[in-house]
Amino acid sequence: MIQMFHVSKYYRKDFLALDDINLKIEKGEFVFVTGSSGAGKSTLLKVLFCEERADQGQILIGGKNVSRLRERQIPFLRRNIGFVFQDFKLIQRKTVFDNVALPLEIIGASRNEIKKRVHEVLKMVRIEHRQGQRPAFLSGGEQQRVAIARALVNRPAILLADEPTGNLDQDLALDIVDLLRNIQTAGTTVVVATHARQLFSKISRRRLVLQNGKIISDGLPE
Amino acid sequence: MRQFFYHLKSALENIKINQTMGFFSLISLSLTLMLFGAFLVFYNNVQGFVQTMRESVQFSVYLKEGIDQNLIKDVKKTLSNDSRILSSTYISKDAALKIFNQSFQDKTLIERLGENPLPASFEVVVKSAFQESDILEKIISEYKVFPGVDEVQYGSEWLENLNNFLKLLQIIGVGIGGFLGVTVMTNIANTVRLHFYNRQDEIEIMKLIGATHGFIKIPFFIEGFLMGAISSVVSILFLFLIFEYTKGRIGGFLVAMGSFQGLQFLSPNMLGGLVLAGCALGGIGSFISLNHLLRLRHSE
Repeated sequence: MIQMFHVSKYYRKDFLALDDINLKIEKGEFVFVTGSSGAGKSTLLKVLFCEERADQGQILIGGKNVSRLRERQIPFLRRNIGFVFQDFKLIQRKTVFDNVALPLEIIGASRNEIKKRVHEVLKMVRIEHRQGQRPAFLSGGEQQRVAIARALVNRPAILLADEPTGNLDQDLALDIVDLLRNIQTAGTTVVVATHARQLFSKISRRRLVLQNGKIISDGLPE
Repeated sequence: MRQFFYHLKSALENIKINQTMGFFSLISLSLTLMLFGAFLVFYNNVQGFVQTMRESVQFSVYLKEGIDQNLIKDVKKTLSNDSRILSSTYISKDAALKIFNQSFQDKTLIERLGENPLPASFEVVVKSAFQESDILEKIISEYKVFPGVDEVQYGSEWLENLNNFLKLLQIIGVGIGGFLGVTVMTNIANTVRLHFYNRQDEIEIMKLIGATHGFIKIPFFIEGFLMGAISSVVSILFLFLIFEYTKGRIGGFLVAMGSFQGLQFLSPNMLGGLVLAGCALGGIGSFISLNHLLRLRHSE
């Protein structure tokens, strides 16, 4: 479960990116975070992931107060949260398999465990046949699948996706959202930040609307 | 263990990716370490030379003209019983003349004087433990006043100068070692820093998916360590080739100078020390560089 209490975040001293955010996301829930550019969607995800630190308020993830985490504890938080980036953030010189295996290498998993789990997630995102390729030879949709596979390989309780379809055409975008929905169905909490109306208008899921860093609406679409 | 191999593989990939830069760094590191190795070879040989000279330190006890045979026996006995003396050889007046004649072309020189002016003497070799100049002075002063002894001669100044030169070389060695050590460390630190910058996108990604600073640093640390190890081995190979070439050219001349065993290469201990120093400098250089870089990135 994710809880935010009076969370604010400033960029420089005068720009309020998040303004007194209070929210609760239940375990296994699927939530869209929407709003126009600069509304604070990415910042909301980044403070959950500790890529940015909140200036005020408390954030609880699975009952743990992440706003009090020390820098050296952050990597361990990130191992339990999968993050999907708009620009995929794949390592170009590594193969698909090695990119997806990286989070498991970081935690020191055994070779057999790595093989088993990487194949499992590559199969889940339907990109198994490309495992020996480097990202440069993959289409945008395929690269995003690889990024999702990497985010899932550690079996995280939470998956955060920041504009996961931003670089994809509409068909591929819907395909990726379908994949995220399947992941949620398997029990993972999924939070997707997007400004792509066609996505959240087609899928009936809880929607948080941000404007100027404030939540202006929260609930299922009518 | 498996994770170590993963880091080792990453370190080798680092070197492979930056082959050209890595090659020039290795050459530069090898040359720097070779300079230090060359100094060690020089020091090693001067030390060997001094040691050989020390082992042959001797003084001459000249006896008075017409000395009684009993007194000669007394001097001989005293020298034989002296625990500080390694050996003593009696050289009679006739033997001294023979040696003189062997050393000089003009054999009529002494004959022209009418009688043999050369005194009988003892050539005394002192044990190495008592070869410090102040101890030697004490021994000599004791024999100077011995009955029947005319004079004691000893080339103390020469040995003293050689000892001082060796001490000076030690100080220069520490200076050169320190300077070259810092050069090697800076070189490795800069190379690792460039490799780090080349891979900063990857490092950023790794941090985002949960890698600790330690996980990120280890391959670079291994890379610095490997660079130090490889360059020290290369430097030893270069040094050995140059040494063999030099030995062939001037070794014979040095042996001909006497009491010298010829040019010696570094001992196995020194070779091991050089490789270890290369590894340590590489490791320390990359460690300092990475700590600094990760702190910088953290504060950005």
